[in-house]
Order: sequence, then C-alpha cells, then structure tokens
Amino acid sequence: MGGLRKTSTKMTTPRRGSSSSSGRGRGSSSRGGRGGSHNRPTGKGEFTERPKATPKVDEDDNSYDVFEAEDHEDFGKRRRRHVERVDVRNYELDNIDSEDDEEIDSDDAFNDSDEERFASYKRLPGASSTKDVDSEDSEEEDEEDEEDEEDLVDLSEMLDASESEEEAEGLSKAATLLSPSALGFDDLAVDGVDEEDSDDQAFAGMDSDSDASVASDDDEEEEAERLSKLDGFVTSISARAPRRRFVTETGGGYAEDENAIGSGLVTKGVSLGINDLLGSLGGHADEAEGGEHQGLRQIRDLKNQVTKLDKAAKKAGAGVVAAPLAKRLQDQMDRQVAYEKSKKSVSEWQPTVDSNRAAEHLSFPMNQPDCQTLTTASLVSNLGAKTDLEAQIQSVLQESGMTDEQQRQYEELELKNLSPEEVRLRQRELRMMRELMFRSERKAKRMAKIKSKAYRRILKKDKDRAQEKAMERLKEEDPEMHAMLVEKMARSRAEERMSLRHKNTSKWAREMSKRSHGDEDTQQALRDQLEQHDALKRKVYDIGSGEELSDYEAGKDSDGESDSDADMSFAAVKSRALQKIAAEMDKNDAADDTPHKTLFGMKFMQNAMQRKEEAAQRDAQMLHDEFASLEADVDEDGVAISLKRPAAKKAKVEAKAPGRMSFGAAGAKKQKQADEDGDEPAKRVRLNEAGQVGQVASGGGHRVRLAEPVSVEAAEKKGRGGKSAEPAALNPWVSDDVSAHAGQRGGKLNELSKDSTKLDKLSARLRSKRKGGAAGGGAEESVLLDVNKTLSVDKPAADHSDDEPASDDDIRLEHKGRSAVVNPNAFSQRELVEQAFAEDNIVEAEFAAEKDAAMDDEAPKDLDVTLPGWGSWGGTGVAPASKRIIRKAPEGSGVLKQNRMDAKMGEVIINQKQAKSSNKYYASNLPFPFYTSKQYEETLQAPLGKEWNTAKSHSKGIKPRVLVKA
Amino acid sequence: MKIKALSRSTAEYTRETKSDIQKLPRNIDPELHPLERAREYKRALNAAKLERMFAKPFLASLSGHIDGVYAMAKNPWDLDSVVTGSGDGELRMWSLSSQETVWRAPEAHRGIVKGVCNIPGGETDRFLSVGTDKLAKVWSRSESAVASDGITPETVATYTGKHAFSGIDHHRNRPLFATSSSLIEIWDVDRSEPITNLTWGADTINTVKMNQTEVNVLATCGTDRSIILYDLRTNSPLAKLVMTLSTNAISWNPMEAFMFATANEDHNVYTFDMRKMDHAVNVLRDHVSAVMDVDYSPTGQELVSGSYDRSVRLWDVNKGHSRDIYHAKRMQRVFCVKYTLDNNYVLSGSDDSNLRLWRARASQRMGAKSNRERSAIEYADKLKDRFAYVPEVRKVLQHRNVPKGIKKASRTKQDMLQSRKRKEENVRKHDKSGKPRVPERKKAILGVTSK
Repeated sequence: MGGLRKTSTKMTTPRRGSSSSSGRGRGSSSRGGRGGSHNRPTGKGEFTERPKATPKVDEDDNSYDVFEAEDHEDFGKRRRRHVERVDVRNYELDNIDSEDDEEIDSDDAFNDSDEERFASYKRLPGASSTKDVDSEDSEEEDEEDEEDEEDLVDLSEMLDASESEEEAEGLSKAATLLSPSALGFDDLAVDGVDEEDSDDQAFAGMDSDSDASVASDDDEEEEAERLSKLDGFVTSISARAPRRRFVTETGGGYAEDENAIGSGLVTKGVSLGINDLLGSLGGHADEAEGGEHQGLRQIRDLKNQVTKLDKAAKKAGAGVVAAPLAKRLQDQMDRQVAYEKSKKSVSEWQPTVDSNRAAEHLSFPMNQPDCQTLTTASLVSNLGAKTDLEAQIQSVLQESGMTDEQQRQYEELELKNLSPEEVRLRQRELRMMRELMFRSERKAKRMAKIKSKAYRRILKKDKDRAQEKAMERLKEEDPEMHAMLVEKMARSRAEERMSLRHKNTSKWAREMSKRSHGDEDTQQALRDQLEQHDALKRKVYDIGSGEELSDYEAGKDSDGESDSDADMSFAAVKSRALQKIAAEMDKNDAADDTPHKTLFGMKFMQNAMQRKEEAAQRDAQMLHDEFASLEADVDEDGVAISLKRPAAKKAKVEAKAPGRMSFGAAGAKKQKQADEDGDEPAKRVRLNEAGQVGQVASGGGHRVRLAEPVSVEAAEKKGRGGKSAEPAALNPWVSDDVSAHAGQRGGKLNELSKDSTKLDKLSARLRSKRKGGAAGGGAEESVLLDVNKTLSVDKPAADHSDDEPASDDDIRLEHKGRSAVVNPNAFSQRELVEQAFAEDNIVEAEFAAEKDAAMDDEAPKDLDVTLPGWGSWGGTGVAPASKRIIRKAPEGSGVLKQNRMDAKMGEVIINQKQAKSSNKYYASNLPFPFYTSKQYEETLQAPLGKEWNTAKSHSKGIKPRVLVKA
Repeated sequence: MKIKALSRSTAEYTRETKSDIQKLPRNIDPELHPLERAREYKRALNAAKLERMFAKPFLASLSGHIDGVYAMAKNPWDLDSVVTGSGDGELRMWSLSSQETVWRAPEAHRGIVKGVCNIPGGETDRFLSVGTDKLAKVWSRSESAVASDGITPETVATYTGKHAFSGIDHHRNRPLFATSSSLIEIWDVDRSEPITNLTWGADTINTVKMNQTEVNVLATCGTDRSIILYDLRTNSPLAKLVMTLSTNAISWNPMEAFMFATANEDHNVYTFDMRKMDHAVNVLRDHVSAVMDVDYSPTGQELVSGSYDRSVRLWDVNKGHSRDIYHAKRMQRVFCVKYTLDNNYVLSGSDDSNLRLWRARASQRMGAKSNRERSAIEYADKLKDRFAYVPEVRKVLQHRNVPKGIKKASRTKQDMLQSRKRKEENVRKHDKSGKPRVPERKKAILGVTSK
C-alpha cells in the first residue's frame, strides 16, 4: 500500500527494521491488516472525500459506543489517565534531565541530534490523546507518535506482558477516537496516492504534500513532466536527511491517511481493533451516495458480523488475542498438545489390540480379502466377446444371422405365415407335451426317492416277471429268436465267468480307484461295473427246460410240498421219520466197510471214526426210540395237537433236569414212584427258590410238589430244651437263619445235577452228614419232590442216554424247615465280644513299635564308612583302632523325630518319606502366568492325546495359538 | 419282525485309495488307556529331545559384499528379494530362494550405506538408499539396469542432503520419506528439497522408523540417549524419552500400532508403549553386548535381535528371555537383522560381509505336510508347552551350546548384576528413608518429557 510505504520511508531506520521483524505484536499485525484489507475495495475516491467525512466521526463513535456500551465507560477512565499523561508529557526517558525536560519544547524535544542520541532508548507508554485535545496539540502528538514508532514493538510487548486485556481494549478505543478524520487533518491527508504508484512517485511525494498530490493526481503526464519529477526525485534524495528532520518536526509528512495515524497511535501503547477500522468505514458509508449503496450494505453487514464476533469473544473472556509466547514455550505447549492428540488417535487401535491379545487363536493373514464368488447373474451380465477371437466369431455369427436374437426373429417371422388355428393347435400340442414331460419327470423323481426295500424288491420282481413274460411270449411267437436270446445270455454268462472284465481289474478301473478319492460318481461307476458282473454271472433259468434247476430250488420245492402236506396224518409222519432214521443208521453201518489208505487208514483215525459212528448210532437210536414212543393227541382230522411221552421216562428225565431244584434223590425217588403208583394222595407244598414254604406265587417256574407230608411243627419243637426261637433269631451273630440256610442249600442243590463234579457231590455228602451229627440225631424229614407234571416235553435226546450220576443215591436232603435249632458250636454274645477285643493291648504295643520303626526309618541317618583293617595297625598286641569314620547325614535328607508331623499324635503314622524318583515329574516352582499350584495342576489334568479325546476335541486341543498360512 | 444283525459296512475298513491309511476302529474307553499323564509326559520329553535333535537353524550364508553389511531392507511385496548395503557403499539385491545376488550397484554411495528401504505399494521395485555421502538415491532393479557387472547402474533419482545421512524410512501410503542425520528431514518424492525439518535437540540421530500402522508417527533415536517421537500431522515432536544408554535401533510392532521395540547399548531390548513411556512394557535381557538391531515378526508376537556379541537372538515379546540363540563360527558382529514377512525365516547381516539366512524356528521343516504329520507336530508342540516347566523337559528344551565367549561374558555379567543387586539391597537395608524399589522396567529410563 502506497500510503503505508510512504510513511515507512519517513520512519527512521530502526523503526523500519522493527516493523519488518516478524512476530512483533498485535499492534503491527492489526495495522498490516488494515492496510491490506479495508482500503482496497474503497479505492481512490474515498480518500478525496475524507475531509467531508470528518464531522461524522463523532456519530461513528456513538455508534461504536452503542455496539460496545458496556465497555466504553470502563475504559473511559483509563483513557483519561492517558490523556493526563499526555498533557504532562511525562516521557519517562531515562537520560533526560529534569531541568532539560522542563525547558525543551515539545516541538524541539526531538531534533536530529536527539534522534541520534536516543535512538537506542526505549520509551514507556506515556502519552495518548483524547477527544478534547486541540488540533494542534494532537498534531504535535501524532508527530511525536510517528517519530516514536520505533518504540512500538517494545511497547506493545510490554502491554501484552503486563497489562490486562481490558486495558488493551481501552487503548484501542482511544486510537479509534483519534482517527485522522476526527482530528480534522484535512490538509494533511495524502490525496490520491495510488496503490500502483511507483517508487519514484512515492519519493516525489515525499518532497512536499502538494507535490505528492500533484504528481499523483495526473496519471497521464508527459515525459517531460516525468523528467521534471525525476529531477525532483534527485533533489529529494540530495535533500533527504534534513528534510526528514523537517518532516519529523512539523509532522507534515505523516497522516496521509488513517493508516498512518493509526500506526502513530500505536506507539502510544494503543492498539487498534477491527472496530476502529470499521467505524471509519461506516462514516464513509453513511456519506456515500447512490451508486455505492450495495457496497454500503455490505459494509454494514460486515460491521454487524464483526460486532457480533467481538461480543462473543468478549463473553468468552478473550476479547483480544493473547500475545504469542516465547518460541520455546510455544513449542513446549505445541508438543504437549500434539502428544495428547497422537495418543488419542493411536489409542483407537486399543480395542483391536486387546481383542488380538485375548484371542485364543490368531490366524494370519488376518484380513484376507474374500475370494470373489461368481454368481450366474454376474456372469450373464458380463457376457460378451472378450478376446479378439471371440469378437471375430461374434461378428461372423452376426453377419450370417446366427445369433440368438436373429434366430428368434426369424422364427417369429415364420410363425406369422401360419394361420391362427394352426398356431393354436401347435401351441396346445407343445403345452401338452411339456405337461406330460413335467409330470413324468416329477413321478420319476418321487419314485427315485422311495427308500423302502420292500418296494424295491417288488419292483424288481415285477421287472423280472415282465421280462420273463416277454421271454415266454417271445418263445411262443418267435422260438428261434428266443432260443437265440437264451443262447446269447448263456454265452455272455459263460464269458463273464471266465473273464475278469467287470471285476474292477482293468486298467481303467485301477486308475479310477486311485483317483476316485471321495468322487462319488467314479465310485458309483465302479460299483456299477461290479453289479454288472454279478448280473451277468447270475444263472439264467429256463422255466421250460427244468434241467437247470439247482438243488436248492429243488429242495425248496420238496419242502414246500411237505409243508403243504400239513394235513398228513400224524402216523404217516411218524412212520416216515422212522424210516429215514433207519435208513440213516443203515447207511452208517454200510459206510465204514470201505478200506482207507493214507491218513484215514491209520489205526487211531479208524478208532476215532468208529467212536464217532457209535455216538451217531446211539443218537440215531435214541431219536428212533423217541419217535417210536411218541404219542399224539389227535383231533378229529388226525392232526397232532400235542405230543406226549410215556410217564415213566419223563420222570427219569426231569428229575435230573439241570438248573432245576431237585429235592430228594434216587433213593427217595423209588419210594416216590411207589407212592405215585399206589396213588396215595400226597400233601402238596410249594417251595420257592429259597426253599421258603408256601410263599411261591403260582405260575413261577419252580413249582414243586412234595411227595410226602412235611412235618414242620415237629421239627420246630425239637429245639434245645424247648427254647423259643424268636429271641435267638434277633441276634444275627447267634441265630441260625433257616431261610438263609435253605436258600444256600437251594442254591447248592441247584448245582447238584448231572453235571456236578465228584468234588461237589462229595462235599454235599459231607455237609449232610455233619448236619445229621449236629442235629444230634434229631428227627429228619426227607422231602420228596414230584416235579413230573410240570416239566416240558422237549428234552434233548442225549439225556436219555446219559448215565445216572453214581452218587445220586447218597444225596439226601434234610430240610429242617423253620426249626430254630441252636448250633452248639455258636458263641454266646459275651464270648464273642471277649474274643473280639481279646488282644487289644498287644495291638497297641505293636503299633508303638511300628511307629518307632517308621520314625527311625525316616530320620536322617549318619553313615559309618569305616573300613575295618584300613588306617590301623594290625598284629598281636595291638588294640583295634577306635577311630571310626562317620559320614554325617546330608542336610535335609530326612525328618527328625521331633519335627515329625505325627510326633505328638498318638495313634497316627504320617508318612513323610519323599519319593525322590517322582521329583522329576514336578515343576520346581510355579510357572509365570499362574497364581496357585492348583491352577497349574488343572492345566495338566485333561490329557490331549487321541486316545483320551474325541477327534474333534483333540484337534481343538492341539490347535496352535498363532497360525500362519504362507 | 426286523432283526438287527451285528454288521460292519465295508466302507468302514476299506481304503478308498492306496495312499489312504488303514482306519482302525478305536475305543476311547479310559479303562483301556491308563496312565495318560505319564504317557503324555513321556511323549513331551521325547518331543523335546527330537526338537533339539532337529534344531538346525542355519540355512545359508550369502556372500558377495566386500565390507560388512550394515543396512538391510525386506520387501513387503516380494518375499524373495532383500536389499543390503555394505560399508564400502555397495548395494546388493538378493534372491533368497536361489540364494544369490540378482542385482548390484558397486559404488552406490561413497562411504557407508547407512540405510535402505523399499518404496511401498508394490507397483514398482524401487527402493531408496542413503549413505554418509549426504545423498539419498532411488534405485530400481528393472529401471536402473546393470550395463555390465561391476558397473554402477544409473539411479532413478538422487536427493542431496546437507548432512551425512544415518537412516531412512518411507511413509506407508504417501510419497514421503524421512531421513535422519543431525535432524529429521521429510522429503517429498517429487521435490529435491526436504519439505519439513524436524528437530528437537541438536545431537546426531541414529535412525528413523516410521510407524506402518499409525502412519504419521515416526520414532527416532539419537546419540544423546534419547528416543523422540514425531507426528507428521502436526509437524512437531511429541515426546522425548531419555535412557541411561543410547538406543541403536527401533522397530514398530506391525500388529500393535502403539508398541515399539528398541535395541539398546545396555545389552537389552526394550518394548515401549508410545503413550506411556515412563516405563518399558518389557525388558528382554540375554545379550551380553550392545544390541545393534531389532525387528518384529510380521505376527507381532516375536522379535529378532542382532548384537555386537556376534549372536542373533529370538524372543517371545511377552517373555523376558530369549527363546533361541543363533550363532555361527565365522559370524562377526551383527549389525542388522530382519524377520521375513512369511514368519518363517530370519536374516542377519554382519561385519564379516555375509548375509545369513536362518530358520525362525530351528527345528521346523518347510514343505507341504499331510494332515497327520501336521497334527502330530501340533500335538508335540502342545505337549512341550504343557510340560515345559517340568525339570527334565525344561532342561532339554533350554539347553543351548553357546560360544565360549558369550558363555563367559554372560557368567561375568550375571556376577556383576548380582553383586550390584546385593549392594542395592544392602543400601536399602541401612537406609532409613525407605525409598521404594525401582522396578526393572524403569531402571534404564531417565525420563520422559514433552517439554
């Protein structure tokens, strides 16, 4: 800006330097702002009008007051203070003597020499001017201000450092009031100093105000004039120094515009706010006429905005921007803030990191892009020629009219030639076909889904039958063809049997079986082949010929025949069976006549064979006998309803039925039989498995009849001296539980059958004898059982042939019933107790000895390692060396007696032995992440191996924490 | 009536193919498999022994450099290639699979190559190198073709600095790179002058590392024992951490944006959280001489460090001691180490002018494995982990044959540390002020400041 530059050229060199130095202070920056922004839009004309604007300043000021009413009065006092200072002209210069100060006129206060002298001194903010200062005074003031602008930096800094913001605000107000227009410096304003003024113009302007105005007014001057200007410039250069002095003295050179004045005011410690600038602008605005209305409105808007902002700032308590801190401090704060910000931003990763740290498994790469899944839709949408070849083919198709679209069009055209009826007919046909196809498809699908085996079987049979029928029909219609087909089938079967063609042995099959890993289709193909093999190999039965029927089929047929002969009389069946058995026996007899060579010719083999044959013969004989003796209940039709055996034989068999209770034995049996024969009515008692009388539910498998009456009461009476059985029965130690005995006996008896070994039998005999003795020859009741009529028919034939056990006669059952017979060997309760605690004191002594031994065993032991004969003299008359070498027990090797855990416990031995061998299985100290040994133990509890886990949990258990897929 | 017969389908016991294993039906009734703990313990012990038997970590020594290898860079977009710079200013690009030099620039720099880094993105095969000759150069295997062997190829671009460079790193996703000298300079790839200078203090900076996750943060370490963090967004330093001895190298954790590891002169590797640097997160102590370089594995779970004691050590980031030590008879001071990006190999460059290729897990074998083999290995690993604290297994797993020098030095160091500790304890005992014990994680830290 020209104006600014002009004033700055008038400044003294240090001032210039200071104004150019960066980061000076608020004052300078606001000045720059004003120069830069606000004068530009208004342009040249504004400056010429300025004198007229002067009276309006007060109004402006008022409007300003309206905007900032609340602050205005507060600052008023302070302003006044400054004004007083101005009046007193208290400059507070260090080196000016008081007497000098009094004498020197303000105009002369700073002459050239002074300037040189005091150039380096700083001035404190002393003076400012007010409204009521007269124009001349203010002129001088401004002059001085201008002069002292070099102090600006220090002043503002000081202000920033020391004074409150409020005060600074106040100062800015003062500056506003002292705007050049307010002071009426009309003549001083540099009119028409253009922004585009060149340096020489500016310099020319320095000569005098009039010169400057002239020079700037005429933009299109001739060269001669320029030359004259140049002359003037040269002269101005030559006369620079003294002139500058003059300028500073009179103050005529400054205040070309408001900027200059503003800057001058700042030297007094007053800073300019944006309101000051706007205030003056507003003044101009009000004055301005028609063409500039829009501009005015804008300005007003701007003003309003600024005011609002200003208010907001004030409310926030930061009406004025604080001075920048020292760089070092600023950097510190910047770093702190930046660090906080960075921390915050980097902490956004925290959740991710946390989840990764806590994750049981990490799999890398982590965020792998999903492989693109191609859908049909996407493929179709992108369908088109991609390569050159494809494009070429496409074009050829296009040319020859073979593309789908063209084909369709062609068909449509063709259809147009047909009559509507025909078209309809054809459509109906097509629809019908489609419908049928659809149905059959659905049906086939449904049928294919059926899993029932029965259905499949039936289906297969149907198929076979149909084929058979077809063959039969063929046979009737075209026998030659039929014969040919049959022959062909037979041939293929024969071939199949010979070859391995469908046995999955071919090269292809081998290849396939290698590659068919999990491929269902291939496996199916292989299976099909095998099936084909089976199908081909199957025998073909020609119903007509009958010769090819296998034995099995024939047998089946004959069986069927026999089955169908259900109505055959029982006698006929029997006779046939007998015949067969006889034939078998004959065959056996006849068979062994043939002489054998080799192994079968050897003696022992022959013996064995003979034995076998004999057994077979015996079996056959038995079977024969049985059949022969069979009788049948025959109903009206002669059909056997049930089979019976002769009674005598049955008894023989059943008495020895294994696993059955068999009370009484052969000796008694005879008697029993006699009884039965004599038809003596027997008293019937039922015994259950445990031998308890009369408690058996009917229908149980163990229904037993006693052949003779059982005299239970009689047995009961025969106690010891008629003692009551009840109290004795209460004592489990003393009582002789009948039922238990009986049960036991029953159990034992169950074992006593034909299979019983001799040992068993012997022991049974002994038992019975002893019992006889114990009872003291008491009345014995032998219980005879008749089990004839309850046993079933189907006994193995072998039973007949078996011999009777040799000792059957000796086994005799004595059943005492519920008799409370007191055992003479039994102890009395007291005796028992006495016996039980008989050796208590002995046990105590034994225990003490044992504990002592244990203590000694676990105590640390010194070891005597003396070797006899070593380290001592031998020979007669020499006393044996008494020195013994004893190795002390190593530290912590055992447990001292007094330190034992069981030292003070009487009846306890606590084993404090340490199994050293197991030490190696224990961790020496607790591993890091665990807090208790229990936690650690728990991690070892469940085994990981396959043997102890399911496949799934095994693979889960062994999955590594970090998995990297390359 | 349907009778259920006992039957087995042939599919259960027939192999589909010849290579299939015979399936054996097994019963997991615990009665049939007693003594599970004892058996698994034995298996663990055997696995541990086998692991040590198969531990053959050394794979190859790639020779070609004439001077020591002092700078190395792995290429995140090409597993096979690695670039190294040596003391005589030579640059070499190696193919790890064929284990040979595929490209070289004999006089890339006058003086030591102090740093190499790849230009990320994978579009080009360009990489940067800096040297003490105040030059930063851009190279490319394809673009700066070798005219004939022994002739230095043309650079793609060259940047001239004011000081001898000591390190370089590239921004993750912007065309910026940072160099360290006596200050940090941020360069735009398209400009010949640095766009920003970052300083704090006036000492020489050892290296610079940019965070590849939180991409605008970078860390430097200087000879004034400091580690300084900078942020490119604010163009300002963030914080300064001063330790008792200077730091030689820094590596950012690729998985945890705020974690970084430092290789310190005091034989230890420290891991830090950049937000709370008043204490180390972990101190990894096993080396017996200054740690020269450190690098994270791509999983962020492991570290590799190279030391002046002629050994390379592998660490679990959460544990205090190394899990393995690699050394070779002819390997000299290790100046740079890198963990390859497939997590399987480790590279070390040392004073003896060789680049060495190691397995990351000494007993691991590469190649495809059948499912059975893999699960057997995993089972063995789990068992080893499980019984690692049992004395017998631990002894087998921890035993290493260490060079005599290292063994002696570690014993001496242990004595020293113990006596120092004893002294401290004694002082504490007779000190009435009752100062709290300084945790190990704070001992090496003099202070952290943003001021």
